[in-house]
Amino acid sequence: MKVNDLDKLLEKADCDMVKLEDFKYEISPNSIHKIVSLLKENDKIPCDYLDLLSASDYPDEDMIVINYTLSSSIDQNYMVWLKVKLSRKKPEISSLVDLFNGANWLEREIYDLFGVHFFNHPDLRRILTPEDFVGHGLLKDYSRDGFFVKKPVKISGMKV
Amino acid sequence: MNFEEKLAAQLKPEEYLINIGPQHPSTHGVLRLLVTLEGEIINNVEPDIGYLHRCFEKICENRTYPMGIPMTDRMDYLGAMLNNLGYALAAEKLGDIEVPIRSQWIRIIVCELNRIASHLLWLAAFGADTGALTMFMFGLREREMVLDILEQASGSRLTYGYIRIGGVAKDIDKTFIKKTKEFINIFPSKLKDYETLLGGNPIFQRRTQGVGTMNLETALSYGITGPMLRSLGVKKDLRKNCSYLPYDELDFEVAINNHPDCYGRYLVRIKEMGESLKIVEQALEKLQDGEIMPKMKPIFKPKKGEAYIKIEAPRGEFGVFMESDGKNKPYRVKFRAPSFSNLSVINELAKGGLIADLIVILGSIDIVLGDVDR
Repeated sequence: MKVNDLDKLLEKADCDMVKLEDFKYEISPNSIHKIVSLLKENDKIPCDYLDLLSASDYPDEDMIVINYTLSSSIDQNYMVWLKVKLSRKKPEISSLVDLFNGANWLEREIYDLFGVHFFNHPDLRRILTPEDFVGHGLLKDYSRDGFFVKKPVKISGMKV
Repeated sequence: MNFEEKLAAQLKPEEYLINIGPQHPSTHGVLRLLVTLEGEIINNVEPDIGYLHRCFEKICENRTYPMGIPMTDRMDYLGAMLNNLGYALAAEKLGDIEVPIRSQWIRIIVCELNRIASHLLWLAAFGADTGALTMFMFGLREREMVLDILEQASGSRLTYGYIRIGGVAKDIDKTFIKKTKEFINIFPSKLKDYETLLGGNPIFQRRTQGVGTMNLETALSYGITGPMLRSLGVKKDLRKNCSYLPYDELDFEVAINNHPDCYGRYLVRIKEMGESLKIVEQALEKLQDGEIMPKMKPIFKPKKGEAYIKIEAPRGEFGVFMESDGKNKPYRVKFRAPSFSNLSVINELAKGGLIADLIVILGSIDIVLGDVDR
């Protein structure tokens, strides 16, 4: 079975991890690169395709969780889901660009909207918001007040 | 020093940098390309995106679950039904809602019609990109028929908001079925016309064959999906062996071929329109009377949890990651946009080619900037 294959494979990696459910694991930030390269280059359960890279912000628990899902181009029946918890004060994780070129833009998007820093990323800069944008939009404490003009604008010499 | 200045500083003496877009008809939206040229040969293409970023993920976090559906319409505005479907499926998975059978078949019909409309617009625009302006008229003419059908069902032409959490907004009527049957009768002959007019045209073939070639390794590494991947001979279509809609009961083929260039992408999309038509025809026969919405509580409040749903949209795999914290608003929504990943490969496709081919390559990727920027 694919589930057993995956369990055996990840046991071999010898990293800190918790199995949440079938095909879904929580792993430590240091081991992400090792585990993804193992998943990519094995024969039994090959994951040649980085599908989703998303982050969620939890200000109360002081963490940012990054979700990776990996799937295969040959067998559509499985999808491996990895969750990584990062500290909210200094979110840092290793980049996967050397394994998957597609991670380049996906990581730039996470950097742009969450401020997560990716080590060894060749070109880490904002992608969706302008270069001079301040703050990271999808963090829960990002103020939305900027959308509204609170005080009327005064122009000198004009009587209101 | 901003990014353009950095690119300009790295230029070799024989190179120059030109800027295409963001306001340019052939970039299919507000896409800006910074192209490094050596004579007519492209050395590097750097896409600059984000001009249409409308923060949909943030807006969805601040709205209730049903209010997120109109947001998804405006992402990939040419395949809005499929976006509605992805969002609704993710919410249904979180809330453990079972969709009535009649609604499932209606969803298949409208989604496949929308796929045809989307591919027709692509064909029209791709014809215009390669200089075949007649194709633009022909593609839009048939697309208009599909839009009329979808307007009959949902009341609007592009931003449908038709597929809701639990089912569909309202039942389809006799006029819808009559119009769809008319379309099914007419469309196969039109498809043949396209194949002779455009696909059989030597100018079109010379413009597209061998242009923008891609190998399988690059495609997988960049996360390419949809017709672009299938043109490399990979039989990856989420509608086969899927669990989200009863596609398994229908007889259709996955459109693949082995031309890893712009011409191959054209062939895949042409074949896919024929297959979608077959699906619509069969699904109309399977349609039975019944409920379209299950009994649900007035306020949709799923349990704490997370779901990730992938569907086959016209441009590739559209994914919705949705997380609930037990309230009436989603804690986090993330859209995996197919155009975003597909566009990121453009440098690999265009490098070493001619500047004149860049627009053809960009057209063959079939991007929608609303989907790229979200």
